[in-house]
Amino acid sequence: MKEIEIKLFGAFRKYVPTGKIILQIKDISTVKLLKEKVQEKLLEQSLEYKGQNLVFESALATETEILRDEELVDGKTSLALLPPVCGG
Amino acid sequence: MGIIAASVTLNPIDLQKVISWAPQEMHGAMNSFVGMVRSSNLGREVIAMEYDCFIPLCEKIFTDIAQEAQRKWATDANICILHRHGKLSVGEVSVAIIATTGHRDESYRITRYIIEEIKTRAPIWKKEYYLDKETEWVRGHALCQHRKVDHHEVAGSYSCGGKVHSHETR
Repeated sequence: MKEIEIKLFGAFRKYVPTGKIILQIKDISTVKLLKEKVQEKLLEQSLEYKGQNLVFESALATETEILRDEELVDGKTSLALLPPVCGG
Repeated sequence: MGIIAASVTLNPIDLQKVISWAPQEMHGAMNSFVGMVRSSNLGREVIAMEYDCFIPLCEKIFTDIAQEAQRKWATDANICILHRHGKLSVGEVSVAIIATTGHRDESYRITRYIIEEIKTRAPIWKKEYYLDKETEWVRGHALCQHRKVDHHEVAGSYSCGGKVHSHETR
C-alpha cells in the first residue's frame, strides 16, 4: 500500500475546505479505481456530499497532463481532481 | 515562431501593460479579448467572483492552446494570455488575450479560438458571490481526457464526460 495526496478544486472545496485528501491505495491502481476511492472518502468525510457524483464528472491530472481512466497511477504521490471547468 | 506569454496572476491585470507587451514591428494587426466580471447571472445579482485555478496545468494548457492557434493561423503570431486567480469585484478584468499578426484576420481568429478553448479546457473554476450573501460554484464543462495527439492528429468525434463532440466544432 502507498499514500497519495489528492488536491481538490472548485466545487470540491465546499465539501473539503482543506482542499486535499490523503488516500491509501494499492501499489498498482488505475485512475478509475482511484476515483472510486475518492468518492468513498468524500462520502465518509462530508454529509453535504451525500448523493453527489461529482467525482465521476471530474478528471484526475498531474501538473502537466490530464489522465485517462484506464491509466495506472503507480509512482505518483500527488494528483489533482478537476471538476468541470468554466474559465474566462 | 512568434512569442507566447501565458500566465495566471493574483494581481489586477493592467491592460495598458498587456497591450504594450507585444513586440509588433513586423505586424500590422493587434486584436484583444478582455473578459470582465459582470453584475448578474441567470437572474441573480452578482457582487463578486472568486477564481480557483490549478496553476501549473493551467499555464501549460494556455501555452498548448496558443501554439495550436499559431499552427492554425500564423506561426509568427505573438500571443499573450493572462488570467486572474482569487476574488474579483464586478467590472474587474478576469482574462486578457492579445494577438499580434501580419494581418487582421488571423488576429481575430486567434483571440476567438483561445477564449473558446480556455472555457472548455483550462482548469479554472469560479464561485459567484450574490447580493443576498449566498455563494455558488458555477457549473462548467467536463474536461476531456484525450491526449494532445488526439486533438491534432485524429479527425472525428470523441466521447468526453459522457458527451460525444467534435473537437473542431466545439
